[in-house]
Amino acid sequence: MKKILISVLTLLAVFVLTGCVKMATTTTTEPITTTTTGEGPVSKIVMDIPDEEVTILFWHIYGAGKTALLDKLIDEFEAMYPNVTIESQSQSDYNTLREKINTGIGVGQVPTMALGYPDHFAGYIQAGAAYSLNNFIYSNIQYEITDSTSTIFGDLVDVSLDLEDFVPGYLAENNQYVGGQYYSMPYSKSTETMAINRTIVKNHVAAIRAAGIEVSDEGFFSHTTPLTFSQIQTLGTILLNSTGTTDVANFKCGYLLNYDSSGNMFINMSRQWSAPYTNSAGDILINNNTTKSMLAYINAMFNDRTFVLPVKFGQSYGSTNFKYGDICMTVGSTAGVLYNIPSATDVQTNLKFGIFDVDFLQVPQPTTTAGQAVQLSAGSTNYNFTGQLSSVQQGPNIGIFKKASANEKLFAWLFIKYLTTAENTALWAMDTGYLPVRLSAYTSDVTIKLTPTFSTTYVNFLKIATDYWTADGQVDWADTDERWDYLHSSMVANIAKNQALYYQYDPAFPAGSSSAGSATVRVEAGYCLENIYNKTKTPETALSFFLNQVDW
Amino acid sequence: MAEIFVKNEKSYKAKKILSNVLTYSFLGVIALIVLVPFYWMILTSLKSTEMIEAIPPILFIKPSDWQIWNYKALFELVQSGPRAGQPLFPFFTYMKNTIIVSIITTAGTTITTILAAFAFARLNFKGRDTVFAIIIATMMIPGEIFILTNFLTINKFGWYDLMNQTFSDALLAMTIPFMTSVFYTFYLRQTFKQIPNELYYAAKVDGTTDFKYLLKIMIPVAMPTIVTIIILNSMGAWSAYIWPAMVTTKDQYRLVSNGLRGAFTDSGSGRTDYGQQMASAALVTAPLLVVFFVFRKQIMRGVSRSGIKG
Repeated sequence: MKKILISVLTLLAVFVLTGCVKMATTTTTEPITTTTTGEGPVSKIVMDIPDEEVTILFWHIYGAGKTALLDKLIDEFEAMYPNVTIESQSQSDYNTLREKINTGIGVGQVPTMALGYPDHFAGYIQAGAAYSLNNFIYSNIQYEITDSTSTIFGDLVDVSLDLEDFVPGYLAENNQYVGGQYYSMPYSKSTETMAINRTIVKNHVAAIRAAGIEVSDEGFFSHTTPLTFSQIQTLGTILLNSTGTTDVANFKCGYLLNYDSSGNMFINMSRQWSAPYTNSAGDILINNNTTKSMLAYINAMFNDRTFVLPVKFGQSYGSTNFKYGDICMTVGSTAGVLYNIPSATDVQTNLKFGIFDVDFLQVPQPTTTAGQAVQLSAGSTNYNFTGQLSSVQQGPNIGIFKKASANEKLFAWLFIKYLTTAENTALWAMDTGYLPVRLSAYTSDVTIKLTPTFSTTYVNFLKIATDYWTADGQVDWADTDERWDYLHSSMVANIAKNQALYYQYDPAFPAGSSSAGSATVRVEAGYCLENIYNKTKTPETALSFFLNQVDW
Repeated sequence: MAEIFVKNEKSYKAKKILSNVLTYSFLGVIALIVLVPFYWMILTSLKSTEMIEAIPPILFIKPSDWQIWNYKALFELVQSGPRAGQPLFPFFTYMKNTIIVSIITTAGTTITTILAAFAFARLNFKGRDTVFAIIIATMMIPGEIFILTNFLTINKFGWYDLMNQTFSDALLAMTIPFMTSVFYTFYLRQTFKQIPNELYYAAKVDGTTDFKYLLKIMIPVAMPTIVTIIILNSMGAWSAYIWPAMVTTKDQYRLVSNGLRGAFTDSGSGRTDYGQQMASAALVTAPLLVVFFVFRKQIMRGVSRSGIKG
């Protein structure tokens, strides 16, 4: 008995003492810039750039084979500021990166700057570790480069940043936090687009036109105006086989439109339906009639095979079944474009339509003009709501930590500015498949070497697809023309550009005392739709279950 | 009489054959279940991305279709950056780190375990059983709880300095917190307690010291248990993942488990290059297989003695 008592007391003591471990508080260093918040011209204060030796620790997750361009940009930056060394370190994956920073915050061991998703930064802000970039963005300081070994010797460098040039949706995502301050800047951004089997469409051009949908002779839909959900339903009556199998002879598939990410589907459709989802304060708002109506509509679309999820095929993505001809269209990340293109390296017997033509379109919308009343019908049920335009924006941002010294913060900021100049963000986009974060990047004339024999500017890169579309796919490029290799990437870049003005972000918040964090809510949103698709739950019970999982 | 004997013998033989068939069929099925993941790993490492995605899955590939480049690509050199000139998957660096960490952790654990088990089993001191009960009670606390306290400790010792961590710091951070094991101490103490007291008293009469008695008598007698501890601990150290990822600041200090996790995921699409990942997993598994075949008797005995798998 005595031993048991001692054991229990010991356990208690261990827990209590663990709880008493004093966490180091983060230190706040003085910002070295003065800021202005007003509009209009401001007088600049010119100062010499600090010449103290500074090392900036930059944490990201890029694997060894994927940092060539980042390394090049780091080299160039270090040549501009010879007193600065940037240590670029991969922390292998986002979960490890976030966990290491969260643990490190308690003991004051954080990098100078890091990549992260909005919910990561929301957590860092809550812990008091993230640094407000407003201190730099609205600064009126100019630094003169006084080091004669610098590649920009004698130049004046502005600390401030012209936000107007950035894609508005990206900015909104990065200043959604408390006080509307910027705690991060957009860096590697992507969105979703819709791949479509053009070979199938081309064989139904007459029927599609008869149904009142514009389509070219070669099966191209508009690349500037998205298809609406009611048009998608109409296409379903034309392109879908009467059973869930592919009818090769009549160019019909078993399922119409796949959504790779069920989480994105729930969140983006909520925005399109003006259905409350969450907000940056961490409130879970899904228990409302519009969301219920939306889920009932999605369920109806699942039932008649208009919508499908990859779980149907036991897959994580719909790209394989799209290539196999089981699905006519698929919505997925711009970063995974090439997975949707059938090629000679596929197992040919699996490709029911052989190597078919693929086109890319904007993701379907409820309406082509935001704020309009929309009525969708499925069977005898009508669904009424106010339609909005929305497409997913995703991908990590980049921010600075308070713990860094004033000079470390300054040079980290200048490095962020350098990474996101119009030229560099265009380079990054062409090199990695991400999207430029600045609008002016779309007109950038900087040349990048894509292969040893093929170089192009971003403008000309975009032109590859627009030339192809203008010629209705009837281009006279030689088989060896390297534009063929970049055609689909160029298509996706154009589509992303065309829907850039209605990118919407997913409100970010860490887990709180009454609800889960935004990342968990997103995962549960995905499960909600999968439960409906799998018929394990009705739309009502799936929503209740979802709410129960995230709202405590 | 003879007929009955023959009949019985036949019946016995039939039963024995049936029993053998059932036993070996069952073992065969279990062996298949165990082997399938290994086969799948090798098979996937020889497939292209399209073959991996294929539905229905490809269960067999002709040698002429093997995608050996999954293996070759691992040793391609990085063109630029801090790791320029090194292979894409730094197999030898990760293996070297893993072996060093395994050896240090295992040596440390074995030494502390032997000394602690000896103290609790043999030495008489005030409060021995109470201290032992307290230590055993800590087994109730999940290991994850210790991560934060261990992290604070190694940070206080200066082994987790983001800017200046050296390989020695990283090694200390990865190994020191895992140089004791309550379970192994308990396990070895029970073995030590089975050694008759008479041996100890006889040794004492002969004028030997406690330490000499430990070295000359107890360790040799308990050697099978100690070997078990060494094997199980090495296996644990080999597959450690969270802690090494947490306390190392640079990629080149990490272990093979960390390398396998992160190196093959495309940061843009989030998709994993399973072909290359499985090729590297196969490379990492190969040395373990060699070790297993060399020490299989000891490993089998160790696992069966402890009743647990590493």
